[in-house]
Amino acid sequence: MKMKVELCQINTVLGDIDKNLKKIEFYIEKAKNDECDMVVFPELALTGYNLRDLVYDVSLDVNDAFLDILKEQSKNIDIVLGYSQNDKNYFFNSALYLSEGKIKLNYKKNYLPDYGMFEEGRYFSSGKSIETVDTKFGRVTILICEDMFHISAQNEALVNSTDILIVLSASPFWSDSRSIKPELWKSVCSNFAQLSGSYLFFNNRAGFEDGVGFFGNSFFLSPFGKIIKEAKMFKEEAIMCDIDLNNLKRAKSFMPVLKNEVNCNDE
Amino acid sequence: MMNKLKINCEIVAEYLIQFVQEEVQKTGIKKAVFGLSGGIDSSLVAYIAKEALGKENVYGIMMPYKKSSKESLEDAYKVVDDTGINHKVFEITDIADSYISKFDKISKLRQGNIFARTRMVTLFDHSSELGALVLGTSNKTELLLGYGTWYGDMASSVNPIGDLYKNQIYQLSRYFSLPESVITKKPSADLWVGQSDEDELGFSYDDADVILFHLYDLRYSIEEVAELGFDKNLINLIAERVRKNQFKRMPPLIAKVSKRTINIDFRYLRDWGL
Repeated sequence: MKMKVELCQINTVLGDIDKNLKKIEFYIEKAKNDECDMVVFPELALTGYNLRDLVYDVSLDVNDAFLDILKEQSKNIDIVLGYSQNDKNYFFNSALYLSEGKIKLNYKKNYLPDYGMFEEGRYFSSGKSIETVDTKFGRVTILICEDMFHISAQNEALVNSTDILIVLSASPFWSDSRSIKPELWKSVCSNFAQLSGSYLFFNNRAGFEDGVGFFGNSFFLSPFGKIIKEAKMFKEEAIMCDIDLNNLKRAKSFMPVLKNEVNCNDE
Repeated sequence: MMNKLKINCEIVAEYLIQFVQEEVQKTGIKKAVFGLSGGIDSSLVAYIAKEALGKENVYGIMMPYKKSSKESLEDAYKVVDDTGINHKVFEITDIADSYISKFDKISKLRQGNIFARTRMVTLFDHSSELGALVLGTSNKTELLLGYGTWYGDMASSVNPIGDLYKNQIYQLSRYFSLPESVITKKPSADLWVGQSDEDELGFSYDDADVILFHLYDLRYSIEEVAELGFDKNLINLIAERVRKNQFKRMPPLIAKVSKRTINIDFRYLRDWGL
Protein backbone atom coordinates (compact mmCIF):
# COMPACT_ATOMS: atom_id res chain seq x y z
CA MET A 1 0.00 0.00 0.00
CA LYS A 2 1.24 3.41 -0.92
CA MET A 3 0.39 6.88 0.30
CA LYS A 4 1.42 10.40 -0.57
CA VAL A 5 2.04 12.89 2.21
CA GLU A 6 2.68 16.63 2.25
CA LEU A 7 4.48 18.25 5.19
CA CYS A 8 3.81 22.00 5.35
CA GLN A 9 6.36 23.82 7.52
CA ILE A 10 4.38 27.03 7.59
CA ASN A 11 5.15 30.35 9.20
CA THR A 12 2.25 31.73 11.23
CA VAL A 13 0.87 35.06 12.35
CA LEU A 14 1.02 35.14 16.14
CA GLY A 15 -2.49 35.03 17.56
CA ASP A 16 -4.37 35.49 14.28
CA ILE A 17 -6.32 32.29 13.72
CA ASP A 18 -8.22 33.69 10.71
CA LYS A 19 -5.06 34.43 8.76
CA ASN A 20 -3.47 31.15 9.80
CA LEU A 21 -6.55 29.19 8.82
CA LYS A 22 -6.47 30.82 5.38
CA LYS A 23 -2.89 29.71 4.91
CA ILE A 24 -3.69 26.19 6.13
CA GLU A 25 -6.59 26.00 3.68
CA PHE A 26 -4.29 27.14 0.89
CA TYR A 27 -1.87 24.30 1.61
CA ILE A 28 -4.68 21.75 1.98
CA GLU A 29 -5.86 22.77 -1.47
CA LYS A 30 -2.34 22.40 -2.79
CA ALA A 31 -1.98 18.95 -1.23
CA LYS A 32 -5.27 17.89 -2.79
CA ASN A 33 -4.09 19.12 -6.18
CA ASP A 34 -0.91 17.14 -5.64
CA GLU A 35 -3.13 14.09 -5.00
CA CYS A 36 -1.88 13.62 -1.46
CA ASP A 37 -3.57 11.34 1.04
CA MET A 38 -2.42 13.26 4.07
CA VAL A 39 -1.35 16.83 4.81
CA VAL A 40 0.49 17.79 8.00
CA PHE A 41 0.96 21.14 9.76
CA PRO A 42 3.18 22.05 12.73
CA GLU A 43 2.58 22.46 16.42
CA LEU A 44 0.18 25.35 17.19
CA ALA A 45 -0.18 25.95 13.45
CA LEU A 46 -3.51 27.70 13.90
CA THR A 47 -2.28 30.19 16.49
CA GLY A 48 1.48 30.66 16.43
CA TYR A 49 3.78 29.39 19.16
CA ASN A 50 4.70 31.80 21.94
CA LEU A 51 1.18 32.96 22.71
CA ARG A 52 1.69 34.10 26.29
CA ASP A 53 -1.51 35.95 27.29
CA LEU A 54 -3.02 35.38 23.84
CA VAL A 55 -3.72 31.81 24.95
CA TYR A 56 -6.92 33.04 26.59
CA ASP A 57 -8.15 34.66 23.37
CA VAL A 58 -7.23 32.23 20.61
CA SER A 59 -7.89 28.79 22.10
CA LEU A 60 -10.76 26.80 20.66
CA ASP A 61 -13.11 24.20 22.03
CA VAL A 62 -12.63 20.96 20.12
CA ASN A 63 -16.23 21.29 18.92
CA ASP A 64 -15.92 24.95 17.91
CA ALA A 65 -17.59 25.71 14.58
CA PHE A 66 -14.34 27.38 13.54
CA LEU A 67 -12.93 23.89 12.97
CA ASP A 68 -15.86 22.80 10.77
CA ILE A 69 -14.16 23.97 7.63
CA LEU A 70 -11.22 21.68 8.37
CA LYS A 71 -13.54 18.77 9.09
CA GLU A 72 -15.22 19.42 5.78
CA GLN A 73 -11.85 19.47 4.00
CA SER A 74 -10.88 16.19 5.64
CA LYS A 75 -13.54 14.35 3.63
CA ASN A 76 -10.99 14.21 0.81
CA ILE A 77 -7.68 14.21 2.63
CA ASP A 78 -6.45 13.38 6.11
CA ILE A 79 -5.30 16.49 7.99
CA VAL A 80 -2.98 16.74 10.98
CA LEU A 81 -2.41 20.07 12.71
CA GLY A 82 -1.63 21.71 16.01
CA TYR A 83 -3.90 24.22 17.75
CA SER A 84 -4.48 25.75 21.13
CA GLN A 85 -7.37 23.99 22.84
CA ASN A 86 -9.77 25.42 25.40
CA ASP A 87 -11.19 22.60 27.47
CA LYS A 88 -13.50 24.05 30.14
CA ASN A 89 -11.27 27.11 30.47
CA TYR A 90 -8.11 25.07 30.84
CA PHE A 91 -5.75 25.21 27.93
CA PHE A 92 -3.90 22.51 26.04
CA ASN A 93 -1.25 22.46 23.34
CA SER A 94 -3.17 20.00 21.18
CA ALA A 95 -3.11 18.28 17.81
CA LEU A 96 -5.98 17.04 15.66
CA TYR A 97 -6.13 14.08 13.30
CA LEU A 98 -9.03 14.77 10.95
CA SER A 99 -10.30 12.21 8.49
CA GLU A 100 -13.54 11.50 6.62
CA GLY A 101 -15.10 14.68 7.94
CA LYS A 102 -14.50 13.80 11.56
CA ILE A 103 -12.02 14.28 14.35
CA LYS A 104 -10.32 10.92 14.71
CA LEU A 105 -7.97 12.06 17.44
CA ASN A 106 -7.52 15.10 19.65
CA TYR A 107 -4.16 14.68 21.33
CA LYS A 108 -3.10 16.91 24.22
CA LYS A 109 0.66 17.44 24.53
CA ASN A 110 1.94 15.56 27.57
CA TYR A 111 5.30 17.18 28.19
CA LEU A 112 5.24 20.98 28.34
CA PRO A 113 8.68 22.58 28.44
CA ASP A 114 9.03 25.30 31.05
CA TYR A 115 12.82 25.68 31.19
CA GLY A 116 15.18 28.03 29.34
CA MET A 117 13.13 30.13 26.94
CA PHE A 118 10.02 27.96 27.22
CA GLU A 119 6.84 29.01 29.01
CA GLU A 120 4.39 26.31 27.92
CA GLY A 121 4.08 24.94 31.44
CA ARG A 122 2.91 28.35 32.59
CA TYR A 123 -0.07 28.56 30.24
CA PHE A 124 -1.00 25.04 29.24
CA SER A 125 -2.17 22.01 31.17
CA SER A 126 -0.63 18.71 30.21
CA GLY A 127 -2.39 15.79 28.59
CA LYS A 128 -2.18 12.56 30.50
CA SER A 129 -1.75 9.89 27.87
CA ILE A 130 -0.07 9.14 24.57
CA GLU A 131 -2.71 8.24 22.01
CA THR A 132 -2.51 5.99 18.99
CA VAL A 133 -5.31 5.87 16.44
CA ASP A 134 -6.21 3.44 13.67
CA THR A 135 -6.30 5.16 10.30
CA LYS A 136 -6.56 4.12 6.66
CA PHE A 137 -2.79 4.03 6.64
CA GLY A 138 -2.12 2.07 9.80
CA ARG A 139 -1.67 2.99 13.42
CA VAL A 140 -0.76 6.66 13.86
CA THR A 141 0.65 8.29 16.99
CA ILE A 142 1.08 12.04 17.28
CA LEU A 143 3.71 13.53 19.55
CA ILE A 144 4.25 17.25 19.95
CA CYS A 145 7.81 18.58 20.08
CA GLU A 146 9.08 18.14 23.68
CA ASP A 147 7.12 14.85 23.97
CA MET A 148 9.68 13.33 21.63
CA PHE A 149 12.51 14.06 24.07
CA HIS A 150 10.83 11.79 26.62
CA ILE A 151 11.80 8.16 26.22
CA SER A 152 8.62 7.25 28.08
CA ALA A 153 6.51 8.89 25.37
CA GLN A 154 8.51 7.15 22.66
CA ASN A 155 8.02 3.89 24.53
CA GLU A 156 4.25 4.40 24.58
CA ALA A 157 4.34 4.94 20.83
CA LEU A 158 6.40 1.76 20.48
CA VAL A 159 4.20 -0.51 22.58
CA ASN A 160 1.09 0.91 20.89
CA SER A 161 2.40 -0.67 17.68
CA THR A 162 2.77 2.63 15.88
CA ASP A 163 3.17 2.43 12.11
CA ILE A 164 3.52 6.16 11.56
CA LEU A 165 4.76 8.55 14.22
CA ILE A 166 3.92 12.16 13.41
CA VAL A 167 5.94 14.72 15.35
CA LEU A 168 4.60 18.26 15.22
CA SER A 169 7.08 20.84 16.32
CA ALA A 170 7.91 24.50 16.88
CA SER A 171 11.56 24.00 17.63
CA PRO A 172 13.81 27.06 17.93
CA PHE A 173 17.16 27.20 16.19
CA TRP A 174 20.41 27.32 18.08
CA SER A 175 23.92 26.41 17.17
CA ASP A 176 27.28 26.01 18.84
CA SER A 177 30.71 24.89 17.80
CA ARG A 178 29.72 21.23 17.91
CA SER A 179 26.29 21.10 16.37
CA ILE A 180 23.17 22.81 15.16
CA LYS A 181 19.72 22.09 16.53
CA PRO A 182 18.38 20.12 13.51
CA GLU A 183 21.08 17.49 14.09
CA LEU A 184 19.66 16.78 17.52
CA TRP A 185 16.21 16.19 16.04
CA LYS A 186 17.48 14.00 13.24
CA SER A 187 19.38 11.85 15.68
CA VAL A 188 16.49 11.47 18.15
CA CYS A 189 13.91 10.77 15.45
CA SER A 190 15.93 8.39 13.29
CA ASN A 191 16.76 6.44 16.41
CA PHE A 192 13.07 5.89 17.09
CA ALA A 193 12.13 5.13 13.48
CA GLN A 194 14.87 2.54 13.24
CA LEU A 195 14.23 0.84 16.57
CA SER A 196 10.46 0.76 16.18
CA GLY A 197 10.41 0.05 12.46
CA SER A 198 7.93 2.84 11.86
CA TYR A 199 7.71 5.78 9.52
CA LEU A 200 8.27 9.13 11.16
CA PHE A 201 7.10 12.48 9.80
CA PHE A 202 8.76 15.42 11.55
CA ASN A 203 7.06 18.72 10.79
CA ASN A 204 8.76 21.75 12.30
CA ARG A 205 7.51 25.26 11.59
CA ALA A 206 9.45 28.09 9.99
CA GLY A 207 9.42 31.79 10.83
CA PHE A 208 10.46 34.04 13.70
CA GLU A 209 8.73 35.19 16.86
CA ASP A 210 10.53 38.05 18.63
CA GLY A 211 13.94 36.95 17.42
CA VAL A 212 13.38 33.25 18.07
CA GLY A 213 13.71 31.47 14.74
CA PHE A 214 12.04 28.11 14.16
CA PHE A 215 14.35 26.11 11.94
CA GLY A 216 11.94 24.24 9.67
CA ASN A 217 13.96 21.42 8.08
CA SER A 218 11.01 19.02 8.32
CA PHE A 219 11.70 15.47 7.17
CA PHE A 220 10.35 12.03 6.36
CA LEU A 221 12.11 9.05 7.93
CA SER A 222 11.83 5.54 6.61
CA PRO A 223 11.22 2.67 9.06
CA PHE A 224 14.89 1.86 8.56
CA GLY A 225 15.79 5.22 10.10
CA LYS A 226 16.92 6.96 6.92
CA ILE A 227 15.83 10.42 5.85
CA ILE A 228 13.86 10.02 2.62
CA LYS A 229 13.22 13.68 2.05
CA GLU A 230 13.79 16.91 3.96
CA ALA A 231 12.73 20.53 3.67
CA LYS A 232 14.91 23.63 3.72
CA MET A 233 15.98 25.27 6.91
CA PHE A 234 14.28 28.53 8.02
CA LYS A 235 11.89 28.98 5.10
CA GLU A 236 8.21 28.18 4.75
CA GLU A 237 7.86 25.26 2.40
CA ALA A 238 5.74 22.20 1.64
CA ILE A 239 7.46 18.93 0.79
CA MET A 240 5.80 15.89 -0.65
CA CYS A 241 6.80 12.26 -0.34
CA ASP A 242 5.57 8.91 -1.59
CA ILE A 243 5.39 6.43 1.25
CA ASP A 244 5.45 2.70 0.61
CA LEU A 245 3.71 1.25 3.64
CA ASN A 246 4.84 -2.25 2.65
CA ASN A 247 8.22 -1.24 4.03
CA LEU A 248 6.72 -1.46 7.51
CA LYS A 249 6.56 -5.26 7.45
CA ARG A 250 10.08 -5.43 6.04
CA ALA A 251 11.49 -3.16 8.71
CA LYS A 252 9.59 -4.86 11.51
CA SER A 253 10.72 -8.31 10.39
CA PHE A 254 14.31 -7.11 10.01
CA MET A 255 14.36 -5.66 13.54
CA PRO A 256 11.38 -7.09 15.46
CA VAL A 257 12.20 -5.23 18.64
CA LEU A 258 8.64 -4.97 19.90
CA LYS A 259 8.17 -8.76 19.77
CA ASN A 260 10.05 -9.22 23.01
CA GLU A 261 8.62 -6.29 24.92
CA VAL A 262 6.71 -7.67 27.91
CA ASN A 263 3.72 -5.39 27.49
CA CYS A 264 3.25 -5.65 23.74
CA ASN A 265 0.62 -8.37 23.91
CA ASP A 266 -1.93 -6.28 25.79
CA GLU A 267 -3.88 -5.41 22.65
CA MET B 1 39.46 27.69 24.04
CA MET B 2 38.44 30.06 21.28
CA ASN B 3 37.38 26.98 19.28
CA LYS B 4 34.32 26.70 21.46
CA LEU B 5 33.08 29.97 20.00
CA LYS B 6 33.28 28.69 16.44
CA ILE B 7 30.06 29.02 14.52
CA ASN B 8 28.87 27.55 11.26
CA CYS B 9 29.04 30.82 9.31
CA GLU B 10 27.08 29.64 6.33
CA ILE B 11 24.08 28.55 8.37
CA VAL B 12 24.23 31.40 10.88
CA ALA B 13 24.48 33.94 8.05
CA GLU B 14 21.44 32.47 6.35
CA TYR B 15 19.58 32.54 9.67
CA LEU B 16 20.44 36.18 10.42
CA ILE B 17 19.45 37.28 6.92
CA GLN B 18 16.11 35.52 7.34
CA PHE B 19 15.73 37.14 10.78
CA VAL B 20 16.19 40.67 9.44
CA GLN B 21 13.92 40.05 6.50
CA GLU B 22 11.06 38.64 8.56
CA GLU B 23 11.31 40.76 11.70
CA VAL B 24 11.45 43.95 9.62
CA GLN B 25 8.95 43.11 6.91
CA LYS B 26 6.26 41.61 9.13
CA THR B 27 5.80 45.05 10.71
CA GLY B 28 4.73 46.31 7.29
CA ILE B 29 8.00 48.19 6.82
CA LYS B 30 10.30 47.32 3.95
CA LYS B 31 13.36 49.40 4.79
CA ALA B 32 16.02 49.55 7.46
CA VAL B 33 18.33 52.31 8.65
CA PHE B 34 21.38 52.01 10.88
CA GLY B 35 24.43 53.92 12.00
CA LEU B 36 27.39 52.97 9.83
CA SER B 37 30.59 53.91 11.62
CA GLY B 38 32.98 51.89 9.50
CA GLY B 39 33.64 49.63 12.47
CA ILE B 40 33.30 45.90 12.14
CA ASP B 41 29.91 45.56 13.88
CA SER B 42 27.94 48.08 11.87
CA SER B 43 29.73 47.03 8.69
CA LEU B 44 28.65 43.43 9.21
CA VAL B 45 25.07 44.61 9.74
CA ALA B 46 25.27 46.38 6.37
CA TYR B 47 26.08 43.09 4.62
CA ILE B 48 23.35 41.16 6.44
CA ALA B 49 20.72 43.87 5.82
CA LYS B 50 21.62 44.14 2.15
CA GLU B 51 21.03 40.41 1.67
CA ALA B 52 17.83 40.52 3.70
CA LEU B 53 16.11 43.59 2.29
CA GLY B 54 17.94 44.46 -0.93
CA LYS B 55 20.48 47.26 -1.16
CA GLU B 56 17.87 49.80 -2.28
CA ASN B 57 16.00 49.34 1.02
CA VAL B 58 18.98 49.77 3.33
CA TYR B 59 20.31 53.11 4.58
CA GLY B 60 23.66 53.44 6.32
CA ILE B 61 23.92 56.79 8.09
CA MET B 62 27.46 57.99 8.79
CA MET B 63 27.41 60.39 11.73
CA PRO B 64 30.91 61.71 12.35
CA TYR B 65 31.83 64.25 15.01
CA LYS B 66 34.59 66.70 14.16
CA LYS B 67 37.14 64.65 16.09
CA SER B 68 36.05 61.30 14.66
CA SER B 69 38.78 59.39 12.88
CA LYS B 70 38.98 59.91 9.13
CA GLU B 71 39.86 56.24 8.65
CA SER B 72 36.50 55.22 10.09
CA LEU B 73 34.66 57.30 7.52
CA GLU B 74 36.85 55.92 4.75
CA ASP B 75 36.06 52.40 5.89
CA ALA B 76 32.35 53.22 5.98
CA TYR B 77 32.62 54.39 2.37
CA LYS B 78 34.32 51.12 1.43
CA VAL B 79 31.34 49.25 2.87
CA VAL B 80 28.88 51.48 1.01
CA ASP B 81 30.78 50.97 -2.25
CA ASP B 82 31.02 47.24 -1.76
CA THR B 83 27.38 46.66 -0.74
CA GLY B 84 25.73 49.36 -2.83
CA ILE B 85 23.42 50.36 0.04
CA ASN B 86 22.12 53.92 0.34
CA HIS B 87 24.13 56.23 2.53
CA LYS B 88 24.13 59.67 4.00
CA VAL B 89 26.71 61.63 5.94
CA PHE B 90 25.08 63.50 8.79
CA GLU B 91 27.62 65.45 10.88
CA ILE B 92 26.64 65.65 14.52
CA THR B 93 29.28 68.23 15.45
CA ASP B 94 27.11 71.35 15.63
CA ILE B 95 24.24 69.57 17.41
CA ALA B 96 26.46 67.91 19.99
CA ASP B 97 28.66 70.99 20.49
CA SER B 98 25.64 73.20 20.98
CA TYR B 99 24.49 70.93 23.81
CA ILE B 100 27.96 70.52 25.30
CA SER B 101 28.48 74.33 25.28
CA LYS B 102 25.70 74.68 27.90
CA PHE B 103 28.10 73.26 30.46
CA ASP B 104 31.37 74.74 31.71
CA LYS B 105 32.78 71.37 32.58
CA ILE B 106 31.75 68.06 31.11
CA SER B 107 33.45 64.70 31.48
CA LYS B 108 34.65 62.56 28.59
CA LEU B 109 32.10 59.93 29.58
CA ARG B 110 29.21 62.42 29.43
CA GLN B 111 30.43 63.69 26.09
CA GLY B 112 30.66 60.15 24.76
CA ASN B 113 27.08 59.50 25.86
CA ILE B 114 25.95 62.75 24.24
CA PHE B 115 27.49 61.70 20.92
CA ALA B 116 25.88 58.27 21.15
CA ARG B 117 22.49 59.75 21.99
CA THR B 118 22.71 62.42 19.30
CA ARG B 119 23.30 59.60 16.85
CA MET B 120 20.32 57.74 18.29
CA VAL B 121 18.09 60.82 17.75
CA THR B 122 19.39 61.10 14.21
CA LEU B 123 18.72 57.44 13.44
CA PHE B 124 15.21 57.37 14.88
CA ASP B 125 14.38 60.60 13.06
CA HIS B 126 15.60 59.10 9.81
CA SER B 127 13.60 56.01 10.65
CA SER B 128 10.51 58.22 10.57
CA GLU B 129 11.60 60.18 7.52
CA LEU B 130 12.46 57.08 5.48
CA GLY B 131 9.84 54.70 6.83
CA ALA B 132 12.62 52.38 7.95
CA LEU B 133 13.22 50.34 11.10
CA VAL B 134 16.40 51.02 13.07
CA LEU B 135 18.77 48.06 13.10
CA GLY B 136 20.91 47.52 16.18
CA THR B 137 24.65 47.03 15.89
CA SER B 138 25.60 46.01 19.44
CA ASN B 139 27.24 42.62 19.82
CA LYS B 140 26.84 40.17 22.71
CA THR B 141 30.20 41.04 24.27
CA GLU B 142 29.29 44.75 24.53
CA LEU B 143 25.75 44.04 25.67
CA LEU B 144 26.92 41.72 28.45
CA LEU B 145 29.68 44.09 29.57
CA GLY B 146 27.32 47.06 29.35
CA TYR B 147 29.92 48.72 27.15
CA GLY B 148 27.53 51.00 25.35
CA THR B 149 25.23 53.94 25.94
CA TRP B 150 21.75 53.18 27.23
CA TYR B 151 19.27 54.74 24.79
CA GLY B 152 22.27 55.62 22.67
CA ASP B 153 24.02 53.04 20.52
CA MET B 154 22.13 50.32 22.41
CA ALA B 155 18.79 51.61 21.09
CA SER B 156 17.24 49.86 18.11
CA SER B 157 14.18 47.98 16.95
CA VAL B 158 15.80 44.85 15.63
CA ASN B 159 19.34 43.63 16.31
CA PRO B 160 20.75 40.81 14.19
CA ILE B 161 24.13 40.56 15.95
CA GLY B 162 23.23 40.86 19.66
CA ASP B 163 23.75 37.14 20.31
CA LEU B 164 27.20 37.04 18.71
CA TYR B 165 30.43 37.51 20.63
CA LYS B 166 33.09 39.79 19.15
CA ASN B 167 35.05 36.76 17.98
CA GLN B 168 31.99 35.47 16.15
CA ILE B 169 31.53 38.91 14.54
CA TYR B 170 35.03 38.45 13.11
CA GLN B 171 34.17 34.96 11.83
CA LEU B 172 31.10 36.25 10.02
CA SER B 173 32.94 39.31 8.71
CA ARG B 174 35.46 37.02 7.05
CA TYR B 175 32.60 34.93 5.69
CA PHE B 176 30.95 38.01 4.15
CA SER B 177 34.37 39.24 2.90
CA LEU B 178 34.22 42.65 4.54
CA PRO B 179 36.96 45.10 3.49
CA GLU B 180 40.26 43.99 5.01
CA SER B 181 40.87 47.32 6.77
CA VAL B 182 37.50 47.03 8.55
CA ILE B 183 38.46 43.62 9.88
CA THR B 184 42.05 44.30 10.87
CA LYS B 185 41.89 47.70 12.57
CA LYS B 186 41.77 48.00 16.38
CA PRO B 187 38.20 48.09 17.70
CA SER B 188 37.20 51.58 18.86
CA ALA B 189 33.98 53.32 19.84
CA ASP B 190 35.69 56.43 18.38
CA LEU B 191 34.08 58.68 20.99
CA TRP B 192 37.36 60.55 21.45
CA VAL B 193 40.65 60.73 19.59
CA GLY B 194 42.74 57.58 19.86
CA GLN B 195 40.16 55.70 21.92
CA SER B 196 40.68 51.93 21.99
CA ASP B 197 37.97 49.61 23.35
CA GLU B 198 40.46 47.17 24.77
CA ASP B 199 42.58 49.88 26.45
CA GLU B 200 39.48 51.42 27.98
CA LEU B 201 38.02 48.11 29.15
CA GLY B 202 41.37 46.99 30.53
CA PHE B 203 41.25 43.55 28.94
CA SER B 204 41.21 42.06 25.46
CA TYR B 205 38.09 41.08 23.56
CA ASP B 206 39.52 37.59 23.16
CA ASP B 207 39.80 37.15 26.93
CA ALA B 208 36.39 38.74 27.51
CA ASP B 209 34.74 36.47 24.94
CA VAL B 210 36.19 33.29 26.38
CA ILE B 211 35.37 34.28 29.96
CA LEU B 212 31.84 35.44 29.14
CA PHE B 213 31.16 32.36 27.02
CA HIS B 214 32.18 30.03 29.82
CA LEU B 215 30.38 31.97 32.55
CA TYR B 216 27.07 32.46 30.77
CA ASP B 217 26.72 30.16 27.78
CA LEU B 218 28.31 27.16 29.48
CA ARG B 219 27.42 28.18 33.07
CA TYR B 220 30.92 27.67 34.46
CA SER B 221 31.56 28.97 37.98
CA ILE B 222 34.21 31.66 38.60
CA GLU B 223 36.48 28.94 40.02
CA GLU B 224 36.00 26.72 36.98
CA VAL B 225 36.86 29.59 34.64
CA ALA B 226 39.95 30.36 36.75
CA GLU B 227 41.07 26.77 36.22
CA LEU B 228 41.18 27.52 32.50
CA GLY B 229 44.08 29.86 33.30
CA PHE B 230 42.41 33.25 33.76
CA ASP B 231 43.19 35.66 36.57
CA LYS B 232 40.45 35.43 39.15
CA ASN B 233 40.37 39.22 39.54
CA LEU B 234 39.68 39.61 35.85
CA ILE B 235 36.88 37.04 35.91
CA ASN B 236 35.33 38.75 38.94
CA LEU B 237 35.64 42.15 37.29
CA ILE B 238 33.87 40.91 34.18
CA ALA B 239 31.15 39.09 36.13
CA GLU B 240 30.53 42.25 38.17
CA ARG B 241 30.24 44.34 35.01
CA VAL B 242 27.63 41.96 33.66
CA ARG B 243 25.63 42.11 36.88
CA LYS B 244 25.81 45.88 37.27
CA ASN B 245 24.72 46.48 33.70
CA GLN B 246 21.66 44.25 33.72
CA PHE B 247 19.48 47.41 33.72
CA LYS B 248 20.81 48.40 30.32
CA ARG B 249 19.44 45.21 28.83
CA MET B 250 15.95 45.78 30.22
CA PRO B 251 12.99 48.05 29.59
CA PRO B 252 12.40 50.52 32.48
CA LEU B 253 10.95 49.14 35.71
CA ILE B 254 7.27 49.81 36.23
CA ALA B 255 5.68 50.03 39.67
CA LYS B 256 3.04 47.37 39.91
CA VAL B 257 -0.26 48.87 41.03
CA SER B 258 -2.97 47.01 39.15
CA LYS B 259 -3.69 43.33 38.73
CA ARG B 260 -2.26 43.48 35.24
CA THR B 261 0.97 45.38 34.86
CA ILE B 262 2.77 45.87 31.57
CA ASN B 263 5.52 43.28 31.10
CA ILE B 264 4.85 41.73 34.51
CA ASP B 265 1.48 40.09 34.01
CA PHE B 266 0.46 41.79 30.79
CA ARG B 267 2.57 39.54 28.63
CA TYR B 268 2.70 39.66 24.85
CA LEU B 269 5.47 39.42 22.30
CA ARG B 270 6.27 42.33 20.04
CA ASP B 271 5.19 40.05 17.21
CA TRP B 272 1.61 40.01 18.55
CA GLY B 273 -0.59 39.76 15.46
CA LEU B 274 2.44 40.00 13.14
